[in-house]
Amino acid sequence: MADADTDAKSETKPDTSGMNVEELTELLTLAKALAEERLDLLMRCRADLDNVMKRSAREKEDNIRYASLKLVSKLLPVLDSLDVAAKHDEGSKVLYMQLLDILSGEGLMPIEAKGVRFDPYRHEALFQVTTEELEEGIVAEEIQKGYIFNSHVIRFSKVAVAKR
Amino acid sequence: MSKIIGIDLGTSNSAAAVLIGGRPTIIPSAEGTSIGGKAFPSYVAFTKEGQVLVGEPAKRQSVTNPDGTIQGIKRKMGTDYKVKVYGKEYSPEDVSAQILRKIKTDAETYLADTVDKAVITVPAYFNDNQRQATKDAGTIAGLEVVRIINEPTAAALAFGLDKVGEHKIMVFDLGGGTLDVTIMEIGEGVFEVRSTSGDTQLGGRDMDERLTNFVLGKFKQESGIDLKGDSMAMQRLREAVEVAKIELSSVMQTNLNLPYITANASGPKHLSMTLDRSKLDELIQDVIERCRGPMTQALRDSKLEKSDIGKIILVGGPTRMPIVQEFVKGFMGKEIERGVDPMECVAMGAAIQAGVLGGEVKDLLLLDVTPLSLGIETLGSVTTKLIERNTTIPTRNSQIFTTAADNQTSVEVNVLQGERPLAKDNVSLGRFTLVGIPPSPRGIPQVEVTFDIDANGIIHVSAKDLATKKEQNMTITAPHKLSKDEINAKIKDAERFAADDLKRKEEIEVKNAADSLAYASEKMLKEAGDVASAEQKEKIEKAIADLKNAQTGGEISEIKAKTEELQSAVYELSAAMYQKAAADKQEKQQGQQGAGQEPGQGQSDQTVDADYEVVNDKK
Repeated sequence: MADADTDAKSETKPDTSGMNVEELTELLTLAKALAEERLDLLMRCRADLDNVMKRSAREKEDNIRYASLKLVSKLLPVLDSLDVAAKHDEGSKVLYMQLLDILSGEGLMPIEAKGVRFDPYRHEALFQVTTEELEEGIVAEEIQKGYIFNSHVIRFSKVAVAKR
Repeated sequence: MSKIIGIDLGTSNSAAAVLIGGRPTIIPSAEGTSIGGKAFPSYVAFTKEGQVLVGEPAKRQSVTNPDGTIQGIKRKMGTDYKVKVYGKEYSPEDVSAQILRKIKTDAETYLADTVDKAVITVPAYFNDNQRQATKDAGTIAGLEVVRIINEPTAAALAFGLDKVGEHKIMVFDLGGGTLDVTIMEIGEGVFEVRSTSGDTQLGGRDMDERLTNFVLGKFKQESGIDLKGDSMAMQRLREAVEVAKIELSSVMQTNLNLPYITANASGPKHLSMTLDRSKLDELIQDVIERCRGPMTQALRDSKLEKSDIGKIILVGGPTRMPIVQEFVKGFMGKEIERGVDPMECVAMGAAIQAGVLGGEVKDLLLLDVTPLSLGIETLGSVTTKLIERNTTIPTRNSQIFTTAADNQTSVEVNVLQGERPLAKDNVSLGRFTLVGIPPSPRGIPQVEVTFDIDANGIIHVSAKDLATKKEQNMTITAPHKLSKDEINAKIKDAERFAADDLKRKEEIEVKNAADSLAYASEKMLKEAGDVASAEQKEKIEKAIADLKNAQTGGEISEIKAKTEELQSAVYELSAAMYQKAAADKQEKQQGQQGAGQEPGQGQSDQTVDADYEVVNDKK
């Protein structure tokens, strides 16, 4: 992968004392070529560094904005369980609302599913249901609630889509 | 100048990578990734409305659009097969091109630059037609495919196996649905495939199935309910099972908790089970066993023995499972290579090849790091670090130091390597002395010490007196190369002794502070002259004497106490001096400038060496 010429670790100054004009010219040409190559490499490294720094800055911003995203995603199964429990139990309903409230404050929003047009950027179709009541391509049932967190989908709604 | 990217165009999942700063980096997929990794599913969908979806979104709508959704098109590359969708016809190249086009867009977004060239990987057993079809797919997508390389070759590059001489290696690639075993010979930059074997119906999905069935069965046993007919329950279950399987690769036991999984006449039902790794291993035993055949076959076809194989690398998500690793290790009688993520290595290897072709990878660019910290010995025989360990070289750092005693005209630089705070616990790489510092009170001279490590790892240390510009230096050619184990041992030592070392360092700091204060106080007394009342003078002199006694005694708490006593005595005097200065100034309101300058130099900077004091802590 590397030329002997470009191996920085083994470079030595050539002995030019006995050389004629031709040989010197050749040496000069090689040296110039090497210098060009190195300048190119240097510029690339600078550009790389620059770009990495720009990206780092962007990612830092993203991290701040989405800092709680991971934790909130992990809490979704709890939300699910409480949601189901709420249907059976008044106490659980209170708990569910309490948790949902706090998370909404952080930026959590449920994804609208039932009755809207199926959108693969927000919903995941588990199966189709044949029905005359709904237009084709409309979400007929929500199997699992999806959520958006600060305009970032953290879980896609799992739905059943109508077909005729 | 745009970069060439590397692409792993897989049957089930695809990923792309690019060299940034010489390191292969996975390009993030705009719409998200498959669970457990950074790849996205190789799905392409054409909707009735004429939209094209690629990756996760395509997968999410697949059941609503079975006619228009295509997956696994890789199996048809190089054939005349045509996909017929909503009145249009597409070749396998057209479909693959959609995936490549998405990758091109993601890459251009990530790099903020145009991307026109790529290296794409293919299975080792792909024939000419299949390879050409892959190239054509790239062309349709707007990418010039500068090279097609074999997936096992890419994996080997990612593991750096092309740099370690000649080897015969085995690449064990177990993915979501297929197993591919390849035996290769590597040497002098040449990769030769000796044999391939595999099973096209064997993978991680089979393991998921085993585990799911087990949980279903157990639940049925315990509750009498069969969840198979309940789509919501099955959905939650499948997800939870896949997460549990992946978790069991790093822990021995995990909980499967699905409250309110379903309900019947007697009320809601909950699923709660503990799964341990040994149970999982038991359930997938037959899946693992099926991996034996292809390995045996590949060896036989290559005409090699197990002992001929020098290195083994694993590719694919399921190879993260300990049971798979143990199985391969046990079968081959050899350790597997580690250090690269098995789900990313093919894309990364493609990126490395792309980098080579793009002129980015030359020996010049391979960067080294200093394995251990470098510094000098300072006041109290502590180590002051100038270069932290793991700093990428070439690098340089300077810091200003000063003298520890009045009229000190030379400083000795003792170059230390190691992580311990005390000089004696580190290795001295060499010493030199800088002389000719103009006689001054301690703390006045400024000596700049510079550490400069070049690309070859040679350390240049210099000390320069900023006043006289006199300089002395030394060069340390690579101190004896420490093995990784030796380096780790030293780092562990530093951690182990950290508490003790810290205590000792604090003690030294107390002593240094006492020293500084005693010196400063004596100086101040001299300067105060008559401002100090006889009483104050006596008090301070006694405090200084007490402190010096404490210092000789060596008892740290005693030294601390006496330091504080001297401090308060001195503050009284300095307050008095300030008051006098203010009074003097008022007296001379006619405009005459008086003396009454400077209160004593009572800064007790952190002093640091028999020869030095740290003046600037920051660079």
